Amino acid sequence: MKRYYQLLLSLGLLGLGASSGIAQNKPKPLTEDDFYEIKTVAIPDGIRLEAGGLAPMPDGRLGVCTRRGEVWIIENPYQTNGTKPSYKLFASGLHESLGLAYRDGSFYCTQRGELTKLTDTDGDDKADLYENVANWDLSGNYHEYSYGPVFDKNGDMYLTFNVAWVGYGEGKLAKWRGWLVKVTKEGKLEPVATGLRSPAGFTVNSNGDVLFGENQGDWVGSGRVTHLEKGDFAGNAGGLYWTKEPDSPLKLTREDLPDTGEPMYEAAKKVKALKLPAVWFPHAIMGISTADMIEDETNGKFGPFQGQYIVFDQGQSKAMRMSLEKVNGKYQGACYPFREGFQSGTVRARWGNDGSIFVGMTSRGWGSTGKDLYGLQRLVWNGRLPFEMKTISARPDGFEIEFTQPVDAKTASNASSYELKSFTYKYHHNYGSPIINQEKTPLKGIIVSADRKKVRLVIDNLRKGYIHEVRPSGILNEEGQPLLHEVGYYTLNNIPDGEAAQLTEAQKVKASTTPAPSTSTPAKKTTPINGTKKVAEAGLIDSKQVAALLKKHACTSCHAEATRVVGPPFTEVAKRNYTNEQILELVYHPKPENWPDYATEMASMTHVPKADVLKIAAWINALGKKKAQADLNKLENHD
Amino acid sequence: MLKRLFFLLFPVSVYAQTEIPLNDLSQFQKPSANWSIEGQIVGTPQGEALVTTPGKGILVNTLKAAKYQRTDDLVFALEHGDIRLSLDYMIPKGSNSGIYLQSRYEVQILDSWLKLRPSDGDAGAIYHRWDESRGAGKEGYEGHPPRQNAIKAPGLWNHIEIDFQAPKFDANGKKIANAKFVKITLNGVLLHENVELLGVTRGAVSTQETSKAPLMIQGDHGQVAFKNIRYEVFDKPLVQMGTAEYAYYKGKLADLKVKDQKPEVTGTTKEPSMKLAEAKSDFLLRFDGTITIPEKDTYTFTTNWTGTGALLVDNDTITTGSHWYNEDVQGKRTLTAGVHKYTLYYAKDFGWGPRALGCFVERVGTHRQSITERTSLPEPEATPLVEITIDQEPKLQRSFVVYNNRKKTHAISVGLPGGLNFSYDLNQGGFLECWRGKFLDATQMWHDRGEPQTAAPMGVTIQSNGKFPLAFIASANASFPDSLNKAELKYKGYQLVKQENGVAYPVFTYEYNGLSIKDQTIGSAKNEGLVRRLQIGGNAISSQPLYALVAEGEVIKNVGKNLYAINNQTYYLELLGETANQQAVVRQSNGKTQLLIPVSGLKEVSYQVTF
Repeated sequence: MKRYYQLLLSLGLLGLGASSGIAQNKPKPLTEDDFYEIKTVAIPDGIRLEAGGLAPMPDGRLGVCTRRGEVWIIENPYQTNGTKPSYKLFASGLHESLGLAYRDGSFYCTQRGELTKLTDTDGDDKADLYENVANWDLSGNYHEYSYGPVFDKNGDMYLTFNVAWVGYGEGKLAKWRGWLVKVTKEGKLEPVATGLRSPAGFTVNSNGDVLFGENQGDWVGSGRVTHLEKGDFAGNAGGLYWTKEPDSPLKLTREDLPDTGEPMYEAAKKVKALKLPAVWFPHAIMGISTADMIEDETNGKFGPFQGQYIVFDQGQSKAMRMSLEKVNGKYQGACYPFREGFQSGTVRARWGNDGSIFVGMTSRGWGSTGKDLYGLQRLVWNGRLPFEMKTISARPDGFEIEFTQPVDAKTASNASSYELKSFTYKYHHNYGSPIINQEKTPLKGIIVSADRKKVRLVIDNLRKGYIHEVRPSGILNEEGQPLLHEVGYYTLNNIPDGEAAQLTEAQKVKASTTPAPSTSTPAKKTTPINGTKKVAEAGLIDSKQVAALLKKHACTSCHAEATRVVGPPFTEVAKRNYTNEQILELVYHPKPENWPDYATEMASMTHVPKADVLKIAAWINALGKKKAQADLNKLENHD
Repeated sequence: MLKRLFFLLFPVSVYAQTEIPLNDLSQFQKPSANWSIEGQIVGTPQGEALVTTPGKGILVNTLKAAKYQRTDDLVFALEHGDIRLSLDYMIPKGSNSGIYLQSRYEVQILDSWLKLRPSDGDAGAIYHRWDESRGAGKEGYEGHPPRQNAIKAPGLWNHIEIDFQAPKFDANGKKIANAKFVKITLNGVLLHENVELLGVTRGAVSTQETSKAPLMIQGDHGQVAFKNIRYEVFDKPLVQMGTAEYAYYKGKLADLKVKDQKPEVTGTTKEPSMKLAEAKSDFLLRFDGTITIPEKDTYTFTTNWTGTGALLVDNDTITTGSHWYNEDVQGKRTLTAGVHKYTLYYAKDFGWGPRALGCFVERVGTHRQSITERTSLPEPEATPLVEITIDQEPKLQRSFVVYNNRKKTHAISVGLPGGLNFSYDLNQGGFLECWRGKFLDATQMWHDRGEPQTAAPMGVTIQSNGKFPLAFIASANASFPDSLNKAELKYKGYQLVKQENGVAYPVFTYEYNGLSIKDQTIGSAKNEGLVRRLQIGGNAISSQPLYALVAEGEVIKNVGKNLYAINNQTYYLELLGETANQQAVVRQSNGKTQLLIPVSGLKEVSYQVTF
């Protein structure tokens, strides 16, 4: 509903403008659910399907392994024509199994300390053979989670190993913690790359390349996806302890790392092995705990994003989208919001045979926006084409956005339709990072392609190594619909060579019309219609406007008005009786210790403009008063 | 900050302080002729009599199946009210006895071995009460069966701990509090907790309840033996608490130094409490109070806090440091009778965790007394039990397993139908523990994120040595390896192999120096014990002879044909099949007694662990 208001406001104002191409009747606002449906796979009462791994089988059944060490085979998981799925316990007794694959009649499951091949040899759909394919040492620290296997084309398997948590990420407590390893068909374990902190999701893509998702933490300013090749160091120092081993493919040590808080891009200039992320996922905005990722190889069954990746976030119970390109031989690209609203912590995803995605979930002890402790859902494209930025690609002088549909030329040519800025994170041993070095990237020119499916943006202040936020929020399609998601974040490690765009006078952006990025939302979005602006100025709070702000700044990913999500409900915050200024301070410099009952610490949100935070703060405090008033009423009524 | 907090993992507490010497029968009131003091005692699982050897240290009732005679019971010289009692007992097959607190409230001793659903007449039960006026068949009432059967096989020592509170009476003799079993554990298994008794149980010397009476043991229903009888009674005068001055400071004061800083608030309080702090964090509280010591003795102070604190008595630091509030931090001091000053500091300089401050004093002969106000120390969070139960089929569950205070990271617990279970180190192919009763407590693995990731036995537990039982060693005199590396011993996996009844049991597979070993453990016919069979295939690449180390412990006694009582009679080991035909060796090695069997050429090594 919040999005509905936001769209109404935006459309309403534009309707007053000169946009003649727009139909007279306001189109119905569209939501994610109009294109990608979440279908819940029913779980029988009594089964705690704390999904850690998923393995669709060629015959249409689905294998699911759980954090309680079970492997279930679900027959009829697509629930065709409203029929029910049937669950069989295939295996049990494993130790926090967080990955599952199916191959040649057996399941391969990664437990904390062992890669196990599970086979049913007597045809009763119950594994009777639990073979040790490979095992490895553990220290006994809970954070030494092990993930995989993911098969490559040769039938070898990749696994990833979390570092231990001892107040920081520590790899030395057990061999190869913090590493990507390969286990050959013969069961030989080979170290491949290190610098991994909490690599819950990774994939081998159609080129045979390994991409892994990292969770914000020490040495990791924000979530990200990194391409790992043999000998790479992905950033977290924990695993470097083992580079002294003879079979380590790199010799880097902890002492070689600059721990200065400079951007990772700068650190990588000094440390050759340090691998830059292909795509940063800005913390709290695009997730808080990167999980699984899968490449769209459905040839259109899942929609218009063939070759792209769907990346999940456990904490925010959502799917994001990632497009990659190779510039100077290295992967880089952009991430975009895609689909929210899963029931629990979306940790695992695999393609179903029909081009839908099975999403396995768990949140026990980890927390998630989806309030269920566990769950299994399917994300299904319903055949309608969403109006989205299909890709953002780097150009020598800016970016090119390709859309899924032709855009309305008028809004696309209008510089005020765009907000652009860039920023990055610190590279240091501390946990996480604030957004740093945020700067404007002024728009110099706009070129709309002849077929109106592409827009080339020529911008100033392109910065190598920086995350460039591209927000064409004013663009409409031919039907007058705004983008389903109005933002993408492009990680510009490399700027491609090539010719700069030749701008005509009409394509040039006049300096005065360039909007000021990194300030509050453009007026068209925040200025309420029907004269509510006056009310807002008079000190009263426009909850619709605040709803839009909460959404825009991703507050709603973790907070709801009255219910506990990842973080406390706003009504609980109101009870603390902070001043608006104190709330501002806490938004910029959160004190997780104030909320010891919440597993996930809040990120610093210094990138949110002060004016916006203060509006939100006033609204939060008004909630408290409302509640107090309601309680008072109750008391009075009770008399 | 977290690094500053020290975690005390294993707080030491002495359960019962005074041992009753068993050199003679002088500790008992007019003992009848059936009671004697012996030096050693031996039994077997099926033996209906225990065999004694003269000496000291073991109290034995030798009367066998006599007719009921009140005078056969053994009355202790010790008269008690509140008491903590711990002792070891042994019975032969079919025997029956009981421990009567105050000669009135019976904790049952009975050969209930192998019984799956114990009643209020079985071992570990708080025996029922008896009233013939209730009518035939209904006389017994208000008994408390144990939570599970925890008694071992006849001829093995059982260890029981009882925390009992006597009924309380007002000045007019009116009962104001019922008798209560605060806690009873048998062989480490919790059987009862905070069970109130509305009156005396059957067989009490009197139906009249009283505040003090002798301890008594039933002696008229068969053989029973006792040793290590220890107790603590709670009858000494208490410490009196005076008022305290307090001062409340703001700021990060974890060094407990306020220098010339002025307190925000000062005042007087009857009892120190963290609730006198206004802030949630960044404060220091200081209390200066007095306690009146009734007589010279050694007093133990226990403090708890989340943050940093210190307790000083007469300006002498008793406890200090940074801790979490569930940790007991203790210090002892000998104090003379009279008034003593104490200073209690509590500072909290971080936001997470509850404010918590507890300070307690006790000595041998008194219960713990609180110096702080009751709600100053929050109760621990209620955590639900996550239990794995066994039904018709065996269950296996991998987890970390705590063994000798360390985590085994590649361990699996196996629960069998019929109540026998074992944990097993997959890296070493060795038993860690075997137990009888409920299967597995997985709370520390599956509650919340399960940071310990451990699972624990829920029944009567026998500790094993965690070693692979086979090794090529030079001779029967050579030492047996403590552990094997991956090159020597390769764990291959396990298979669930169906038995004739269709139930599948795990077979663990290893490669050891060219041998292929299949290791299977199942319950014996009536679940008297675990039967382990190691099938040996392949061709040895060692020229040394193969030995099996089947048991290890302090003392190993041969108590029957192919039958050994291991580790001071805590379990039996019986050699089976071909293994029983080998020349078993009981030897000393590295301070332990080992039972070693030469097994070169055998296709199977098999033995049974009975308890």
